[in-house]
Amino acid sequence: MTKQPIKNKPPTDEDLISRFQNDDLAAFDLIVHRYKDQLLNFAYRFLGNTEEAEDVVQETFLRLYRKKHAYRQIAKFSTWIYTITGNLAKTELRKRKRRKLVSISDMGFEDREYEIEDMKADTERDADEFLKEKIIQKAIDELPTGFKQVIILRDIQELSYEEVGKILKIPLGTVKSRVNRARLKLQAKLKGIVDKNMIRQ
Amino acid sequence: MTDCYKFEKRLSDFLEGSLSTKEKEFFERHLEKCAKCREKSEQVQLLRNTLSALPRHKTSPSFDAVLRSNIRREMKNVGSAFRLPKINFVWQLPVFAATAILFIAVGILIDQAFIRNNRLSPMESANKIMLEPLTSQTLNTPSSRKASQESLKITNYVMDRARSRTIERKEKRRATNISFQVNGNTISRRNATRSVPSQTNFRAVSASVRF
Repeated sequence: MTKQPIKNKPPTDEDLISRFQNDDLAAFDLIVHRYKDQLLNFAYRFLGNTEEAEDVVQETFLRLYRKKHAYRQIAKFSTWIYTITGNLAKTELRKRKRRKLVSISDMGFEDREYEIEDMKADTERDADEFLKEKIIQKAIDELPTGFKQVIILRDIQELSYEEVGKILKIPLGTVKSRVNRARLKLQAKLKGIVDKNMIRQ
Repeated sequence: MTDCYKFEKRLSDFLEGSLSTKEKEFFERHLEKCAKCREKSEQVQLLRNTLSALPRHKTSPSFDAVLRSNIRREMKNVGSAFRLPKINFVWQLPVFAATAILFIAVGILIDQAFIRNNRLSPMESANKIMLEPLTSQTLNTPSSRKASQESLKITNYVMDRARSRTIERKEKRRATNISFQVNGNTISRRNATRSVPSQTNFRAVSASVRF
């Protein structure tokens, strides 16, 4: 029986950060490659704005670059980096003085033009799907910060309850209770919009 | 607490399958009877599926380039923060030197005034002066040896004067020893001021002054 060659396992996050702490810049590039999109998705869902979300993720990696030695292998690296992004996103939200609500019915002429341009840029996506996503995002934006964080991390980023608790520094019971209440709130807001037809598509 | 309220509180646990068998059966029986809770349960499940299926937003194509540029800028800023300030030798150094000399001169004047006002006792002054010859003795040149000899002479003179003043003071104290009688006991002046309450009446019994 021939032995199968052992495939090189990809390095763990903890390996990469450890190498980066020893001034291996290639490890930093790998970390950026691994996390940039998921952190962007998280920040975008939290802030509802692509540019702000990118700024938050840029700042996350800059802080990682500056304070690489601040990470200690007590917690998972993913927990640590998500915490940085979450805190930066919360700060950004607080700084925002005026929120632009994406309300389909309230959209003025200029907004409609912007909306059409955006749809043209995304040729592969169904217009209907795009609008439904906007409605869902609006409903998420309107949630209180505590509910918004947990539902994004749990239901969109699909992290475990334990990890969500560690990122937000709240007990497990509180995480579960908030997720439940956030889901019920969202369900009440999106009644009639999220239905079986949408899931089939 | 109604069954509907209980179900709503545990809805997520029910959908995620983290209830005990007993609890799960209880809620399943409730859902068979309650259309409202059944609809809510289905909608929350649909919402979970919708949220997990939402499109994943990605970083822009220029993200990496922007990050590299930000890091380069960051490194430049860090470098400049640790650079020592440049000293302009044309005018800044003479100004620093003049300021330093001024401070030293003021310090010496204050020190001299302090000694002149007798804030330091003769013994303290002598000790202070004694330090000087010790430092000048580190240089073994003819001029420094002469300077140290001179300062030794001054030191000895000052110490002799200090000793004689101390002796004079002691003599005076002995000469003016007044004893007191308090409550029938005779005590010395020194002890009287220490141990007697303030409102006690003193009566000088005897006093002798020697010159």
